[in-house]
Amino acid sequence: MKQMKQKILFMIVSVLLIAGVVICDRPLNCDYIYLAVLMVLLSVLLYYLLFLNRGRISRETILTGVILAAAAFFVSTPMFRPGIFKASGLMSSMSAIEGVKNALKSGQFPAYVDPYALNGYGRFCGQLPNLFLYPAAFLRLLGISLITSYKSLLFAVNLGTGVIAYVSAKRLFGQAGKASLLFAILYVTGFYRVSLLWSRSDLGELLGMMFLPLVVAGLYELLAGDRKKWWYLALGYGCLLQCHIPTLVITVLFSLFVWVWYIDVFFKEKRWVEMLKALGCALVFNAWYLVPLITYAKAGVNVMGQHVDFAGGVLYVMDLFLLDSYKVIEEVQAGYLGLSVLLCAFFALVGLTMEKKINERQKYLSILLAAGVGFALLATQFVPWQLFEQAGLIEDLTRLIRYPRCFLGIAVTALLAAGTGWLWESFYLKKYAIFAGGGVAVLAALVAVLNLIDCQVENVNLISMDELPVAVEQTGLLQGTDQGDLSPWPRVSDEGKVAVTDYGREGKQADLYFSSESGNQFVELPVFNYPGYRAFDQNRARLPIETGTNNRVRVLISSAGQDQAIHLEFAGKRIFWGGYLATLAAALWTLWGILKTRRPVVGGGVAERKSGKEQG
Amino acid sequence: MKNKLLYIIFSVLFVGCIASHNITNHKIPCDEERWVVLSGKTVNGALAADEGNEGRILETRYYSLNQGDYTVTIKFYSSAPGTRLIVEAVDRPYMTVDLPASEDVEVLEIPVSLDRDYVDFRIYIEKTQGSSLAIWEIDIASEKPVNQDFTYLAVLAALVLVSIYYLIFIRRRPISSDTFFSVLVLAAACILISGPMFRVDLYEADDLGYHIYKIEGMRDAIKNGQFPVYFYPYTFNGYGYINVLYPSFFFYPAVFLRILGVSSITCYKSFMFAVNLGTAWIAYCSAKRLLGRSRWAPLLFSLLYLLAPYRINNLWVRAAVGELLATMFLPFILLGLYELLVGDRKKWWYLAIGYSGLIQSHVLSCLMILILSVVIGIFYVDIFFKEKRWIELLKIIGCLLVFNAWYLIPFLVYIQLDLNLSKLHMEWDLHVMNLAEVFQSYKAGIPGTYEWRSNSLGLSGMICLALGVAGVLVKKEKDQKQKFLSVLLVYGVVFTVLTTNMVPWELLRRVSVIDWVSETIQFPWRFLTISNLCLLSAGVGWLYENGVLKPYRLAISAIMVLAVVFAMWDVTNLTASKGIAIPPDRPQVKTPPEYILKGSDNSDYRNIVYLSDEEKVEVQDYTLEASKAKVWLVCKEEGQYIEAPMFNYPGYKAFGKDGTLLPVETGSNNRVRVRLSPSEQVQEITVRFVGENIFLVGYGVTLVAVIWALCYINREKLRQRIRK
Repeated sequence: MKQMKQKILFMIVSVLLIAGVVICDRPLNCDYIYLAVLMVLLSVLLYYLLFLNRGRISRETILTGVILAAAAFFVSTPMFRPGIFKASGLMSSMSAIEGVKNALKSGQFPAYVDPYALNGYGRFCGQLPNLFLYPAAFLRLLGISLITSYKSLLFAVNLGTGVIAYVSAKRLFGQAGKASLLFAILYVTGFYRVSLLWSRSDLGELLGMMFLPLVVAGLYELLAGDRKKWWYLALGYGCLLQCHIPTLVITVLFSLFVWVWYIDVFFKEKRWVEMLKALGCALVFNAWYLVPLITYAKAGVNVMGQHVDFAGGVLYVMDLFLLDSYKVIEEVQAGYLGLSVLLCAFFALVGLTMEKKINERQKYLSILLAAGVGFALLATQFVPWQLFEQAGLIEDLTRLIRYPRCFLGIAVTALLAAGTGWLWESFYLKKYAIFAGGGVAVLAALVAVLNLIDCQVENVNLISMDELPVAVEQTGLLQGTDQGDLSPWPRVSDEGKVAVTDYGREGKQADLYFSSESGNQFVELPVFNYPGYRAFDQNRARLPIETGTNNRVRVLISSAGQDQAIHLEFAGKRIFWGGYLATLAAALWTLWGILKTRRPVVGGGVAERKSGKEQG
Repeated sequence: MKNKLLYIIFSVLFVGCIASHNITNHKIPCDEERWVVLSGKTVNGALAADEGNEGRILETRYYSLNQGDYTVTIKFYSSAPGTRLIVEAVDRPYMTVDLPASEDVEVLEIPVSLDRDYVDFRIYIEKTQGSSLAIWEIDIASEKPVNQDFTYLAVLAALVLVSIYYLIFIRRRPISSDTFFSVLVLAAACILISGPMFRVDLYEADDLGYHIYKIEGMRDAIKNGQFPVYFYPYTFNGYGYINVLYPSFFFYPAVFLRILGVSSITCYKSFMFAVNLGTAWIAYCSAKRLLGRSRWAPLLFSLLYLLAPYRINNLWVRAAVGELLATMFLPFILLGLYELLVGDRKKWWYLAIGYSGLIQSHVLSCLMILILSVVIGIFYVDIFFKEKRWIELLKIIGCLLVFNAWYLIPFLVYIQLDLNLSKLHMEWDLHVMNLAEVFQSYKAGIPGTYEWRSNSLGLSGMICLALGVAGVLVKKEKDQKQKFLSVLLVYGVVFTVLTTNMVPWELLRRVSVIDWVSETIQFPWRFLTISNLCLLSAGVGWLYENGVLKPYRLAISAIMVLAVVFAMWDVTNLTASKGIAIPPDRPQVKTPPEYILKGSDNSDYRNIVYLSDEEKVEVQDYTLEASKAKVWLVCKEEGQYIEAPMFNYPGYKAFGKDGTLLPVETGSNNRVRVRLSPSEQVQEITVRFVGENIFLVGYGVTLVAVIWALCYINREKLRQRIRK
């Protein structure tokens, strides 16, 4: 009952005064209950931290957590009102959540096809990686409104970004707490990220940015640091794969760029072993998603999205230096690095050029600086993309990446990491690190405030709680689908010979009742023929399916008869189980590995080690 | 070794990326965004004119094209003959091609060969009644790149990368950390402030067209053999336009780039970037001597000075190149004044160099700085005469005269021409500001004369004022430097007030001298140049002189730097929000309205030889080139003359066949008139620009001065060589 409308027919005989329309007499959603529960949980957490925490969680950790939470809260302020401001990608992001929810509701797990989309024809909802949409979809299933679910997801993303950035930076900067905290604050409140959040509402890229610091830290460990921490990279890549394919492709290119500087060490110290482990893990853990994705792509589902003129979307080099997103006339969604990133790039340059001899960490930070500058320039007119796209490989890459501005995500990450790292590494800058770092953080916050204010002023269209998204792109549809031909009633090969008596669609199933005067006929159900559908007759005998007009499910009728039935249901494909099993096996193997490292060893163990520590 | 190799590889890729743009830089598209529809209408991106339309249908914008061969491609449909494509240059048809009638869409390629560089190349389409016409595209293509921008940028990038290579991998010569850090900061600030230029085109600014035209005009003049450049030879249909009254010494590097084929927009941008770098460097070096008590004072001063809101205003909103150049030398002049009046008198040459730079930058600023110098000097009159420092002043004046003689002499000759300077007249009273505006930013948008731009000192100016006042009040016993800073503070305030309506200008301008000064300076807010300089110097100076503020220096400095960065943010956004971007191939030059000879009639700038009487003077043949005319004629009677189609600027001479000098005077419409002697034989008269003899005196004086200066600087080395 998503789009119920009420029509009131009015005949001009008298005056009719409509005082109000009541759809139902209970709350339309459970938002306030949900928010109340959240408040309770938050109160419990605070109570624990204030009164029950007896040193289990250190003060430093609490303070760090509070600061990161404050930063996440700060950039989330536009959401603290009913409704949400319109942004270019908002509808697309909310459609994705709704699609996953509908698929889950219909009994699918994982979610493949949104059975209610497009007049019941269904839409493939796995073309955008959607693992991280599940929590929001579950909230939807609990009755929370779409906008609140979306906002919850955004807040979680902001918080998660801060935490992951902090943890990754701690790894990268050698446990330097202040540098890591600064990096996390700048990363969360960064100009580019805030514009992704509220100007473009690009959920995929936001999720991708959440894991970029993990990849940056993981690469360092793999190439120059503690090779046993290869799983950082595995986790980073694995999660990226579940977030945003363009960001993943760009991160691969970034990794190649960094790898080139360590090519000798890579082979000499045989670190390629750990690289293979990381890549293998990333692929195996995502097999549950990749196998179906490839299956659907092979079946003709448009998983790449509409073709976009890549070269036409380049930025000006000048745009990288602009400090205010809304005053540029070309387009509101132009990319900006922001002042904090520019300052960090400057710190890194000072550190690099003024240090007489650099160690491994400093070398890596310098490479990050070069990568940041390089990838920022890749988003601009600086690169003659029109020319380069004539090469097939580059054209394929640009089709995957879609928009040149996507390069800015990794550029921002690399430059912030390089800058904050060098601020504490450089002998020259170290003495001013706190002052400069604090100054940059305050500046970033100030600029973010103005940006947040601007986005609320500029994006005057407020989407109210009950408005629902309507996605009209070709993404997720089978090639050649005509969205103008979505009649909700089945079609038959010959209306004189086949008569449909009844049709019903419920979730992932559909039932069709018909009679046929002869064999060699077919019926086409108003459902797109995505891989995974199976058809049965009234005796539960399997019926062959093929693709009919406008990609509909076409079921062949072999014999004549009255009161025939076709039961269509979505069951997935057997090959998907290969992916599930591979992922499950990997998960079990990982769990066993973790438990093994914590298992007490023979002749002493964890308990002994603990007491030894206490005595020490 | 591996790192060096990788650096080199990536540098080559970087430079290659820039250079590869040359592959696509062969075409200039003219589509619906780039042409003006005069008749007909645009339908789905194509221009459609039906049978009823006639005359000029469409015209493209003006293009600046280098000499060479081009192909104009037009995609069109014409139902009947009668449509013509005209290539226009110098406001007259250069080439005319009939577009054939066709049954279907046609693509026609028309070769065009330009005999010289043109800044006013344009294409237009005319048709007659009775045919319908549709035009989809017009392209101008060339086998070579249409400009050398990307080659030039690739070379620049290579030089920068080599420098960075040196800094990172070699750097054997020790550079102090503080100096190096300062250089990095200032370089980064220059890049930041130059942000709006990092795109292929350039945002429009008030005087941008004038300066672009200057680059083009000087390029034309040099290519025609003028050096130095006195006038642009092709303006007004070849009659010429005076250049020498607006100093152009610092334009020559940009002009030489233009001669090499780099587009005028890129030349201008390079010029401005160099000005930014020069300003930062000169401000830093000057402040190091003047405010050198702390190692950070020079850096702070130069940063604030470089990013000052009024300066950015001049850079991106006004394109006031002259003032920008002048701003570059002001800190040096201030330092020179200090050394001359109270400091090391042997450094008198600072002031000589500073003023020389100023003379070669902006005439109006010379007057303003002269006023400042005099009023500062008033405070030191006693020392000036007691210590006979007037001797150094005389040396300075002497140096200024001899080193700038090559420019001053032609300037003085040309300024005596009877020029129509009405366009230079500004209503002073309309441009005074409210005091509030002086401290506002564009973002604040306080109502006033200039609410829409940052004609202000900004927050940094206010803070510097406060610092200066605090310093003056706190420090009772002041040394010479502190006294000088106090004087600067006073004049900073005074000149700030002079920009506002707090001063009764209407009353004051009844005094003829003040009226003349205001007439020359044109706008009261030009005094902000001086206020900026004085307040920043005083403020930063006192910040580091005042012991009470020592614990807060870092914080105050950070606040001031943030203030200017935010101010810069304002103004660059103002620039970007203007929305008018000029691409490299269409400079939108403006024919300058100033410095026209009085009595010139622009409807009579025909490119022919005028005769006193066609029956008495029989012209056999003539050739016309830029600033040169050659006429073969027979003069039958006394009292006849010819007039060449060029303005009679000082330096034009007429010669007979054997090189005899012929008398020249100003004719009708200010043309060069040559009096003729009757003769039955054919006379060959050549009129060309050769310059005045007195100009040679100026060159000689300057050359001697330069040689003497070089010898003096290297006298020790020369002495050693002579001894050997």
